[in-house]
Amino acid sequence: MSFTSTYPTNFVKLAYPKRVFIVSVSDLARGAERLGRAASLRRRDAGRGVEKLAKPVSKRVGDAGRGLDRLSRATAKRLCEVGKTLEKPLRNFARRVKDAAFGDYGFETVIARWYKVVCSDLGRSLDRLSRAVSRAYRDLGRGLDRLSKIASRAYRDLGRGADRLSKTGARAYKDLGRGLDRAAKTASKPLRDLGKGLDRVSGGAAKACRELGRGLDRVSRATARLLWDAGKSLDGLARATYKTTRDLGRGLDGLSKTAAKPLRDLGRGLDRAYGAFAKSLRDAGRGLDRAYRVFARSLREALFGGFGLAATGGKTLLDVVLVADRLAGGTARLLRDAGRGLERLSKTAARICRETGKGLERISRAVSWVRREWCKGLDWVAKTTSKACADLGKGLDRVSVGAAKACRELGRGLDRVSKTAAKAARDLGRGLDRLSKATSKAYRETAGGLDRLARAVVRQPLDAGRGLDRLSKAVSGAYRDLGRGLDRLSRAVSKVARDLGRGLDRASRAPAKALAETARGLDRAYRVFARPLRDALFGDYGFAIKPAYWYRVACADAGRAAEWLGKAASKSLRDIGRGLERLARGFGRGLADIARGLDRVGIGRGFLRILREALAAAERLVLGAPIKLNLREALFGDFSFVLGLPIKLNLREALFGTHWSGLRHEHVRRMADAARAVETGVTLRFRLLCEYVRTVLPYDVILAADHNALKRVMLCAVEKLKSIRSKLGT
Amino acid sequence: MSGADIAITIFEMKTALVREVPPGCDEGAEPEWNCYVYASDYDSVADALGAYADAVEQLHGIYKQKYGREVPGVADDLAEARGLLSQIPKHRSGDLVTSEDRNRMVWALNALVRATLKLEGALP
Repeated sequence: MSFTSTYPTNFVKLAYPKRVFIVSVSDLARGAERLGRAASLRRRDAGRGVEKLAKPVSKRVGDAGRGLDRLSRATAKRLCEVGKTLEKPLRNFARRVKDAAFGDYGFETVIARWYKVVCSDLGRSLDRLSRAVSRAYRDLGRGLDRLSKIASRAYRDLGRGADRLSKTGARAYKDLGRGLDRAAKTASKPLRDLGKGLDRVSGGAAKACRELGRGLDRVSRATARLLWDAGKSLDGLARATYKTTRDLGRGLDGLSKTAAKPLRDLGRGLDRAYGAFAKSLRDAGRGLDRAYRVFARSLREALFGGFGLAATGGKTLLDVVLVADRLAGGTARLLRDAGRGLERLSKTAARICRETGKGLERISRAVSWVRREWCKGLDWVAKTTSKACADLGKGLDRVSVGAAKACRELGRGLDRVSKTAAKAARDLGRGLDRLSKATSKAYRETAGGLDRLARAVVRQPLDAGRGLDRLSKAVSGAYRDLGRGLDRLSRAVSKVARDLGRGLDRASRAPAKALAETARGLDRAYRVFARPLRDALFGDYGFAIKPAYWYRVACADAGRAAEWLGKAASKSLRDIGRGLERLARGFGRGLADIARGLDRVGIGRGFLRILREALAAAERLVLGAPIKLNLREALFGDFSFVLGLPIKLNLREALFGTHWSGLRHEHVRRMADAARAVETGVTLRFRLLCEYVRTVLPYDVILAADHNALKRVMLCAVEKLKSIRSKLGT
Repeated sequence: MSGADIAITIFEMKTALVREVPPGCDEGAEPEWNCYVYASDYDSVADALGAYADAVEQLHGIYKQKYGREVPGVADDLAEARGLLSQIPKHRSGDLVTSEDRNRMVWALNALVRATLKLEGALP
């Protein structure tokens, strides 16, 4: 099977049954249009009747909406009154709590920390209470909001149902009934949700009251614990003060005892030291006196005693002289010896005296030094002791004064503390009393407010229920009346529809017969057409059986055919172009001759230029865009699904590339550019991709391929720029 | 690494950042989360085109420095592309891209392609 020979024949076969089918369908459409006009006329009459019926229905629905609106307004008003009623006792309660908390005799002036804890607990309790109340209000508001939304939605659905009813007749009536049924169900659901919401509100209020009671119970317990802790603290303060005072007295006593003993010991030591020193000095003086006396007596005895030198010296000396005179020889020696003995004695005595004098001098010096040092030491001791004693006395005086003052201040402080504590306890008692009264009052008022709230909350659903009951009764009455009317209308419509159906049945038999015959004819035509198509598609060499092989072969064949076609077309077009060129030359030459002749006869060159431009326009008309577009449409138009992208590109290149571009100067330039581009392989792709980038018209649909083509061109441009960069070098 | 290399690298990176829309996800089609041509896609295209113009300008500068002359028409094409790109507003999320903006991008791309081919054709 040759692609070029069988394909047009198959298309012709395909076109004939298509035309027959279109004629049949147009005939059928005309008959249906005539039928539709009558039906629409009757539907219009039915619509007018329904429109008259819809007016009272819409009126009743509007009344129901107004009733619900009034109901919601009354509910909001009552809630507002409840809020206003609760606002005053809550404000009084808050003011009293604030006075009890931050007043002149509030907790804060007594025990700030505990008070903060209590206040924070109380604040949290009040915060929880307010949150619970606000949450209850919010939930109630949301429930009412949902109710109003659902009611409005029901109204809207009802309106839409009525609108559809007025527009579309019996089917719309049925849909309206269903819609109303759904609206009724939807209304019962919000009512049930409202009841649940109010139940949750009452449960939340009870829970809030219970939490309030617990919080106040905790407040009272915390108050008792505060008093207990305050008593303990005051008791501990008194004990600590007493203990401190006692320890201070003991410390002062110990200090006095400890300081007096070393002073006494110091005095005694000094006394003993001074006594011993005086005794030793006295003993030393006595010893020296005795020694002096003994030495002096011995010396006096030795010198002036009976046998002393002075008493016996002359006689002895005379005797000695006499003896010496007499004894001559030994007297001198004896005298000499005596002299020597005396000399030695005198030297010894002198040395002894000198040493004794020196010793006495040293002794006297030492005694005087010792005395002076002792005097200095005693002076220092006396000064130090006196200063220390004076300081000690002053310190003890100050200590005694400070201790007395401290004891007095302590007594006063304890007195003030006891007075302040008593006053604070009294104020605390009063504050707690006021708190308990305010709390009880707040309880009572809260209970009353909650009672009123509960009553209002109960009354509102009750009223809402009654209103909804009345609404449901009214709506059900309207439904009943509407149902009866719809029943009557449906009977009439069904009768009309039955008659219409019979008429249409009768009317449709003939077109059905014609359609059946048309279908048979189309079936026969389809069989005649489908067999070769099936063979072409699913035969041994069809698309579906061996698509890849056939596709490749077909692509190759198509490519060759396209190439051949392109060559032939280009050749024929080139021949046409040459012929036209020759024709143009001849025509131009003839025109030139005519121009010359005309010029000779007086017609200007402007006319010749106009003729040349007209000829160029005719040339463009013959060889330019229309032919390209026709060829493009023929090759890439409706049947382009047969040709894949490679074939399209080959055909495009064959027909609009190098061969085609030889026909015009611009195409010649493009061919030269393309020939250069083939060298790198990049520019060709570059240009082909640029062909895909199209501009769009306003409100034109931008395809994904249009967007992606921009990216592909830019990716190709990156490669191109890199190659240029490598050619340019550094 | 010269300024031209940096400009080409920036252009390549910005081109890679242009999101490729899957086939069939056309403007006006049933929108899915990743199947639509958004205004941000066109902004990324305009950004990449600006980098393209910078790269061509850098290469033209190297050509002038090396051969001591300009390539005829390249400067005009670059000026045309930059003028067109400057008229494209910066879109915000949800903005509609007008056909004029898109056509300006296409015309700017054509001018830059012309400049690229002229520059390549001027090489010995």
